[in-house]
Amino acid sequence: MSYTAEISRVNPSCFLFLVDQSGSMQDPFGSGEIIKKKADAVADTMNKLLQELVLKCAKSEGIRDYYHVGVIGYGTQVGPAFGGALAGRELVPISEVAESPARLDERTKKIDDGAGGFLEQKVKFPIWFDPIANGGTPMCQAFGRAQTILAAWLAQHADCFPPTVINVTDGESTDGDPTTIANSVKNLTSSDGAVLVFNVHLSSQKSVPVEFPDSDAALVDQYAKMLFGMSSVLPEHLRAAAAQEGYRVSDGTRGFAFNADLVSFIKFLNIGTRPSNLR
Amino acid sequence: MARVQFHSHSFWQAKLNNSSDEYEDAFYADEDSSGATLIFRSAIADGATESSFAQQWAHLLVASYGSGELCYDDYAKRLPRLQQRWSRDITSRPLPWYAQEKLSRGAFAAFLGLTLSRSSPEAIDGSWESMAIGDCCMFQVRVNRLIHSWPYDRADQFGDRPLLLPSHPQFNLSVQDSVISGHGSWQLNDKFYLMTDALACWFLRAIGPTSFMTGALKRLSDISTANNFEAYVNNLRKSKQLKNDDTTLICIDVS
Repeated sequence: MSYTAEISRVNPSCFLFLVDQSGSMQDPFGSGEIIKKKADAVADTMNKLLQELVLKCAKSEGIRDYYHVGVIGYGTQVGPAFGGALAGRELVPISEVAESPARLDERTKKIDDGAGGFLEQKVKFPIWFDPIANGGTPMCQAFGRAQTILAAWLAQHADCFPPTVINVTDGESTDGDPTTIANSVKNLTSSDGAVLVFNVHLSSQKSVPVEFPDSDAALVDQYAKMLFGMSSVLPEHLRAAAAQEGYRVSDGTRGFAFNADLVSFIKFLNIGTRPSNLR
Repeated sequence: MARVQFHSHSFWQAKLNNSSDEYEDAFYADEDSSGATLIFRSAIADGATESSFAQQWAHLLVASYGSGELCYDDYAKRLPRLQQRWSRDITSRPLPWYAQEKLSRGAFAAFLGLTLSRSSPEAIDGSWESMAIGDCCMFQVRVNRLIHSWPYDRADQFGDRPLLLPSHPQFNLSVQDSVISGHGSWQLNDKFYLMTDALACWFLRAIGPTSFMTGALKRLSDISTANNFEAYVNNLRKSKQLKNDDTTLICIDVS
């Protein structure tokens, strides 16, 4: 049965994020009441995704390297997007990501005190990425880079839980239709299944956010339809996990989000017992 | 006349490829060397993989049950005190940002406590009561036959998303009415096995419809040392009968 390999420190899996840093990301982001640019939404999404992945792997004694992580930015150029101590590196163990945010912002969080009230707690929120919006959108080139990186990873980790690519973009590719190259990436396999390609589409359209749809019928934007078509269908285990989290799923449900992040996907990745108290 | 004693042996094995200090189950059993014990407590807990400081939470729960502090009747009142103790123990040291965030989300554990009681040291039978949340299980065996399986009695009841006991009060409402109790009776030569989920699931799958302990199940009662248990568990893991997870067993023999 596919997509059942145990994810562990001796058999880690891999996340590769492709991040649109093009000039069109200067345009406003459609969702939410607060006006912000798509570039801000991208940076927020990436910081939340990385934070959630770090927390997934965090234990009392430190971070367990269940995942290796890469971020490829594409805009004026295509290449590794981490800065600071991780600059220039294509894939790094998640523990190094945890130890190397660019800075820690202080934010206030409201926590239920269990007695009907709330406590305000100051928390440190890690920032790895700040908004960037410059240049064209060489999405085909970005997927090509992903193909090279993942082919090398799979040569070293032939039995891993298949890598996941998450492309965060407004969809307006300037170097051609990325569908074919995305399919090449999806054709890469470990013994446990094919690489998963998910897309997070951040649009200027003020439309209702969509997560894990099984059809593009409700997507009015042409780029959304293209990105939906490029997204992998959720494997059975992940579909079941999404259903447990309250998502309506079917056999055609894909790893796609429109004007929403995919932080929920990270939350329901299975690396062991997850209490159903957490929703 | 020799007195009936409650003999207990506890065994554990960390998940394959984890070190022993990464083991997140916990266990407790009273001693009854004189045969005079009227109340014999034992408990088992399984810290959730995805939570941090779950090991500390699991230990706190079994120790509290063992001391009589945690019991079914007023657990809702006692729980906040245990949660404060857990939080105080953890926050006594400086923590990196991710550990702080995990701390605020709390730890979770499956838990099962079993109390065997009798009216006098000379009694050769008595009653048992139990409390549980999640997928730790208790099995009562009489003359090599499973007579009681609690709270689960089928292997398909186990999953990856059980409801667990939280170390943070923000989740207390989520477990209201989910901590359950059971009770029954015991007699001389009964055996009780407390297990965390991996072993319990295998046990229920292996026992079959006749409920007789045969083969590998029968050999469970022969385990007397940590090495025996390690070999037993490794065998089951190698043949893929046992899920790779922290594995814990308490055997209680009334004899």
